[in-house]
Amino acid sequence: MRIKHEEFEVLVPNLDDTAVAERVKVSIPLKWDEEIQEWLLTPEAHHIIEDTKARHMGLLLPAQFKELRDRYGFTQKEMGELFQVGEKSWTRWESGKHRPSRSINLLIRALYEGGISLNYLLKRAGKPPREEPEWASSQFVWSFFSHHTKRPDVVFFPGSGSAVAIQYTPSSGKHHFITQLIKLVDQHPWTPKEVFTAKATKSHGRLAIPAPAHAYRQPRLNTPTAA
Amino acid sequence: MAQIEIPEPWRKQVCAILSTEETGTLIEWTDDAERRFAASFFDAWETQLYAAYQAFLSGAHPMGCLVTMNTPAGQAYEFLFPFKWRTAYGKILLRADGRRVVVFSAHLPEKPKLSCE
Repeated sequence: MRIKHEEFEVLVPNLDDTAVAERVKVSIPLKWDEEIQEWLLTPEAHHIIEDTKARHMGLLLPAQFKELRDRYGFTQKEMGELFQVGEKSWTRWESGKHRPSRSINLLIRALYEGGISLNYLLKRAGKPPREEPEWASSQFVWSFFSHHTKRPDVVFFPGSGSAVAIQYTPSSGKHHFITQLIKLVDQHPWTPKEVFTAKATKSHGRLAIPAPAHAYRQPRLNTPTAA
Repeated sequence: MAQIEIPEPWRKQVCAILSTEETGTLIEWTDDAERRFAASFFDAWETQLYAAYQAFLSGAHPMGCLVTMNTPAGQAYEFLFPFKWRTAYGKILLRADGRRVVVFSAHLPEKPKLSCE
């Protein structure tokens, strides 16, 4: 099968969909169809175009919907009930076949980024709250992607859907959140190299993560962190 | 020549395939169709187009023109249909195997009439 890559300009609508807010150039794979003598888009090409558009519109991507659901160990039906949209809608968002509206995306993103609590949504959905404090309930799962970013002091925090920079203080043995680097995740598709779970504690207004006993490489010291 | 009612067997097969929403595998797009669609309807998603195609083709007496394609490619029809509160031009090929469609066009019309008028 003949394949070639062509540049494609993804047009991103503005907030009220009345004009193009942004133009993003991407490279898409095309396959030659002998029968109809035409270049056709591959499935990957469609994903690239629609995911690029969604990401620049601020919409969660299919993998992020799945990640959010996994965080709480919910079924698709339960997530549909939580946001009062039905199982079908949630399933379609996870598959990428459909995209959420901006308004419902705003609410889901708020939970994804920790802007609202799970218990608030559970209450509104007429469901019992979870007992433990939310920030501790799912435990913090950390995945290093320093091999992608070349930033050993930057870790990915799936629970928030964003990257955070942390600083390791040898004297206290604590890791402190320095700043959020949300964009970083978009720019560096990650594959977890090492994953561990640890409960965080609050320390002087910051979350401190105890160093786990295994499978953990300490952040390199004196590496500049983003401001 | 004038527009004709698009045959029901063709419509049923096309709608069944569109309902799968299997973009890139069962529902293929030409490069040109994707570019024109993006330019005309930058605020739309592909699955919204499939829903509009289906609504038109499953309606009462949808009219269009048969487009001559090389054999054994299949049978293609072009038609005007409502999409995003506007009139859009659509052209779909049902491949000879009857299991896949190719979106040839889904954009704002460039001519006031279809090819058979």
